[in-house]
This record gives sequence, structure tokens and C-alpha cells, in this order.
Amino acid sequence: MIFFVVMLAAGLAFYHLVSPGAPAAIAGREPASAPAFSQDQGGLVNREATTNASV
Amino acid sequence: MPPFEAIVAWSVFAAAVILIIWRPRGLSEAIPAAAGALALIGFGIVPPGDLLDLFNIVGGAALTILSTIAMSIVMDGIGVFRWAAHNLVRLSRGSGVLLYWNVVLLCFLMTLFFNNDGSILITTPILIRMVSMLRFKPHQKLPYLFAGALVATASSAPIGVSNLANLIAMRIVGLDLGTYALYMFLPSLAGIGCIAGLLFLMFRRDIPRNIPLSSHPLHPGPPAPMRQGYRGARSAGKPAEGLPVHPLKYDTAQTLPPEAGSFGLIRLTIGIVVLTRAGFFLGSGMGIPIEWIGIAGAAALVAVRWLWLGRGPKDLVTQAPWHIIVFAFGIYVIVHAFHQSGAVDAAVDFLSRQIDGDRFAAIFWMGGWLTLLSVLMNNLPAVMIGTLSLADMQLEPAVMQSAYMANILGSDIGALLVPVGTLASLLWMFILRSHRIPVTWGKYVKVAFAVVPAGLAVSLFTLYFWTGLFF
Repeated sequence: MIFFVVMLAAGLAFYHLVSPGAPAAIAGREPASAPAFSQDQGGLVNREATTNASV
Repeated sequence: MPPFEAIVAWSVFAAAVILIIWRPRGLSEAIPAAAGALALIGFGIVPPGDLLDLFNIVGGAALTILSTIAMSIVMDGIGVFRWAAHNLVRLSRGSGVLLYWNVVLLCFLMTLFFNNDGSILITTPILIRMVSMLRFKPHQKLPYLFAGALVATASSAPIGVSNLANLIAMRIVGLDLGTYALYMFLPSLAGIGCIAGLLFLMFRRDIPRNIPLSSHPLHPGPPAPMRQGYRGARSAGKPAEGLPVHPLKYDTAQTLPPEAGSFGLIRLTIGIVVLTRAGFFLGSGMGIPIEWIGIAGAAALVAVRWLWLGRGPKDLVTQAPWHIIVFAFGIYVIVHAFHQSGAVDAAVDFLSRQIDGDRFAAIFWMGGWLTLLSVLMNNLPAVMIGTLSLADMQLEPAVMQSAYMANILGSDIGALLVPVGTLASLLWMFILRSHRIPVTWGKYVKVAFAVVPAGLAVSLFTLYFWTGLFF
């Protein structure tokens, strides 16, 4: 029984990591800190806007 | 066993192991495993009367893993994991260090809720995409990629249902899921934490302090081909020429457009997966075979998708890796014959003398022995041989169970020393190569030798002290 509970708790963490943060994100109302991921792998869109890039 | 038959059993074993690891021309592992088993049956080395008993041991384990993979196919097809790369960055709030630990957590949970190979197949392309989009330099990518690989693979130890070999070994010794997790969860967690911590220290100068953020609206990410492993890489135009095929590899169902993967459906599918996984512990305590629970969970997921999106189970029927059943059964027949031939009798005698009824010695000798076997022949046959050998040692129950747990730690954590130790590590190397990320075997071994022995030692010590509370 204890591991049933442990797995449910782990499930919450899993949901937190893989699910979309909030439906508002789809409507473009994500907070300004949200990264922009485009379809290609070419890097963050509008990267020059960032000020704390590590590379 | 007569000398001729013993030589045949050894030869078949050696040939099967080499072909499974080498996989020339993308040869499926199920083929050498099945061919070897058929040869052994043909030579009369494995009597047909034994086959039903052998199948009873591996059949349920293979079905459990198969149902888990079916669930991951459905979820990836719905687009659940498309958000993972974005979420990892979002939750890291601009910190490369926090991103590292989020990667560790994601890989741990992916293996906990699916299986080690599935976790590698899904998370590695996500991590590659993430570090590419963040424009990390090559040396900055390594901490995240290595942490993902080592943590995802080692995380098959804590609950026993995340790894085909563990499930088969559990059946051999007749251990139930709850008891396994009770003894193994904490020691495995200690080992995984140690590995993640040492990797962090090792790569601390390479982990960027800050990661770039943007004010643009988010996008859930590319469609599933980015996460499809070899075949997905090939279809995406990546160099996948000559890459071998993994037995647990699957083709992801055609990914739906983002709007189809609605939030309600995503929540529901994650809920089904979590309840199925948690239900293993509830159901096995009531005597329900875990493969039934796994199949019920997969069926529920397919039914939800059917009702919600109108997509039936056809893709699962055609794309699920059914050959896992053949592979698991074939390799177990081969290992059974190899063990019956007396190939490891001398080692068993030696280990019995060293253990001599002492639990501490049992844990460290068997953990070390399984690490060595896994490094030499891959952890799937190794854990089978180790578990069968334990039955020959006539140990007291407490020593026997401790030694069995140490077997699992050796084969799940110790095996990470070299890529050939686990099929998941090999899979990771191939995915990296297909994405033109150069991680040589030498580089892998250098990193692994710096973190894995300590992780294994910590997990074995924790196992000794933790199980001491019960025995």
C-alpha cells in the first residue's frame, strides 16, 4: 500500500514535468519567462533578446 | 551435461550474446535469441518438456514490458511528451543547475513510469533537442546527456517493473513486487542520487550558470519523429545508416497536431499511466498477476484515445514490439542451457565459499560478480545467470534475498560501466550518433568509471544497512 501512495506522489511530479503548464499557455498568455521553441532545432527564436546567455 | 552438449550450449550462448550486442545490419535481437533456442531444442539440450516452465517465467514479464511500451506509444502519439523540453526549461527559471536536476528528475520518473529502454528512447531526443535549442556548446551538452542516460538506466532498479531482466529475475526467485520495492527502493535511490551528484561535481564547470530565456509564446515542440529513435532519425533525414535495431524499439504512432492533444486528454492519459503503475503494487498484493494490470492499463489508454480522438488500436497491433516475447523466451532458454552445462559452477563454488552465510559478503560479492558478468556479456543474460546461480548456493533466506537484491544492483547500476553493459546504454550511444553528437566509447567509459563504482558501492552499503532492519 505504501508504494501505491509513493507512486501516486511520483505521478504528481511526473505530471508537473511533462504536462503543459497551463491552458493559458496555448493562448499565448504564458509569462514572459517562457522560452520560445520553434519547430526547427536552430536555437531559441530571437535569441539576441536574451541577456544572460551562457554561450 | 555431456561435453559435446556443453560445448554446443556455450557456443550458442556466446554467438547469441555477440549478435545481440553487435546487431549486424540492424539484426533484431529476437532472431539470434530464437535461432539459438531452436538450435538447443533441436540438439536435445533443452527438453521440450521444460519449455512450458521456462515460458511461464518469462511470458508474464514480457507481457508486462510490452504493455508498458504500448502505453508509451499511445502517449507519444497523443503528443504528451512534446511539452517536456519546454517544461524542463520553464521550470528551471533560467538556471542551468536547476535544469540539470530537472533532467535527472524527468529521466528518473520516465523510467519509473515506463521502462529503461523506453525512457532512453523518449527522453534522449527530448534532451538533445533541448540542449540544441539552448545553443549549448558541445561540452555543455554532456552533463545533461550523461545524466539522462545514466539516471534513466539505473532507475530501473527501484521498483522492479521497469526492466525486463528484473521482472524475469523476480519470477525466478518468486519474489512479489511489494517486497522487492520495500527492499530495493531506498538503496537504488541512494545509488542513483550518488551517480547524479558525482556527475554534477564532475561537470560542474561545464554546466552553464544561466540559460537563455525568451519572451516569445511557447511552442510544444516538433512532432514525434524527433523522438522515434533510429527510424525516427532516419525519417527526419538524420544519418542513421547502418544503425542496429533494438528489440524494445518501437515506432511512434503518427503524432497528432498540437490542438488534438488537448489538455484534458493529456491529463487523463497521465492519470491512467500513474494509476496503472501504482495499481501494480495494489494488485500484486491481492495476488493479481501484474501483466493483467499492465494489459488493462494499456487497454484503457487505447480506449480513451479511441473515444476521444477516434483512433483505434490498429497502430499498436502493427507497431508494438511483439518480438520481445520471442526475444525474452529465446534468451532465457539459451541462458538456462548455459547454466545447466555447468559453465558457471566454478564461480558458484567460489562465491559460496566467500559468502559463507554472511549477508555483507553476499551483498558485495554478488553485486561485484553481476557487475563483472554484465560488463562482459550484457546485463540481461547476466542477471539470469546470477539469479539461477543463487538457487544453487543453498543460502539462508535472508542471505539469499540480500544476494538477489545485490544481483539486481550489479546488473542495473554496475552494468553502466561500459556501453555494452545494458541495451539501454547502447541505444543511447546510437541515438547520439544519429544526431551527430560525438560521444565515443572511451569518453563514456571515462565518465562511467568516475561515477558508477561509487554509486554501486553506496547502493550496496545502503542495501546492507536497510535490509538489516528487516532480517
